[in-house]
Amino acid sequence: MEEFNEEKFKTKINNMFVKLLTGVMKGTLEEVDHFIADNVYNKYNEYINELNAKNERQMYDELNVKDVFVLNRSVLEDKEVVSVRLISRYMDYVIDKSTFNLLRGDNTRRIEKTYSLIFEKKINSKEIKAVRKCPGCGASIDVNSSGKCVYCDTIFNQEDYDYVLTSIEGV
Amino acid sequence: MKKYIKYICLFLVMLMTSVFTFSYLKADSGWDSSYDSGGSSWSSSSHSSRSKSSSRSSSSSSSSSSSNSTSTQTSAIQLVGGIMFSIWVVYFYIKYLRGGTKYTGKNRLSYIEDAYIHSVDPALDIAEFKREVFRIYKDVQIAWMNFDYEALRNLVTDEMYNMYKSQLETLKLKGQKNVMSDFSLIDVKITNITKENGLININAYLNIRMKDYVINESTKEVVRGTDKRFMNIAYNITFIKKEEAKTIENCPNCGAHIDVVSSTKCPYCDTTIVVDSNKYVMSKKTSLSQRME
Repeated sequence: MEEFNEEKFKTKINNMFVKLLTGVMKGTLEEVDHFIADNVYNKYNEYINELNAKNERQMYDELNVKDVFVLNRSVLEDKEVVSVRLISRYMDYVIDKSTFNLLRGDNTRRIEKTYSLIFEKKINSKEIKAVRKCPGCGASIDVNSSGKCVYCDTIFNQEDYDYVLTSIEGV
Repeated sequence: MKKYIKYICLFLVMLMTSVFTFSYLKADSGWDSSYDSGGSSWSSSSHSSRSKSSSRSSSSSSSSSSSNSTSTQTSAIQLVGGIMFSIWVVYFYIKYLRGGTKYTGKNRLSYIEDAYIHSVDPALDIAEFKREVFRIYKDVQIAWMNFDYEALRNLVTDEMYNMYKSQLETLKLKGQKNVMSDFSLIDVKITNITKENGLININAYLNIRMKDYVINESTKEVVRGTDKRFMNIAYNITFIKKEEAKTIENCPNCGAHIDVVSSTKCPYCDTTIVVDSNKYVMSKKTSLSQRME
């Protein structure tokens, strides 16, 4: 298992967080499916479906991670668990997909929101090499950009290599 | 005590801004800095998560404030009292809070001795690194402004690159551009250096002055911030590199020669290659304080 470096970990989760909320904005989680657990996927997918049913789009405008703190890191028998507090800023509002009219929220100022996140990584995880390969067809995948193979649509098996987001709650 | 004074001042200033509304809105790569209307820029210069409730309550507290005086005499007393309080608030603001998060309370950042830095990274040329901090910062800002993804790729970690790319895609969708110009360096200090599992992390304090605003790309109209005034911003920036100087020179997929800093696409087979950089690249940028000049 790759050794832990806190700054490297923080830059990783900053990207994960921004990509997750950007996915909600885009209305699809295909680019983040590989690094979120099923429960997190279902939670946000359900929200996206609710919005789609009403022809609405959730906006997280000027999205940014203001700061992130590693609260606890514990190594269990089969996995490593890291809990994190993340402070984010964004304009939180909902628009109509067709007319782009503002329906709810404030699109003039950013709010600051704190999240509690939990990441897990297998103890026997494989070394993540310079080139990440699709488990389906062997093509290279740009995992930090998207976990979906552009050739065969297979989702990268992040849980065998790196941290996966298993819980995210607004505080 | 200072903490309570800060919150009292904040409440009183929110009250005052119901009369005088300032709408300085700005950006910065990664949206690290902000000046939202109603004075919630105070929240961007503090690490307290309680600033969330402060910014949320600002509009409601300012809109619900009202005078209950029923007589001329009471009104006059209240007016005088209000003016005296305002003067007191402004005095405390200037003394304690304006651009002051650099050396107050928990946000104190003191530089570290050169000898300690060299004990962690003996090869580091400190003076050159400080110049590099400003250069990398400026290059990141310019790459962000120009949506220059490839330039960004060589300056930051792969994760930060992808995060910035997501943020820029949203900006592009809105048809906007974040313009930053007239950069000048005020101060740079190394505030911390650590080595952890083969990687060296350096924290640097950077204070700069620049113009920063967002325009509509079609009309060139300024939509957030102002192009007339300078911003004075202080950052805490983290740089990271691997201790080992060796890096890969050939694409692991096709064998072609490549130049990779932290991530790159092979120009021959298009494979994305991600490595721990052997040169310092930016991994995090946090705004500490900001003020309009």
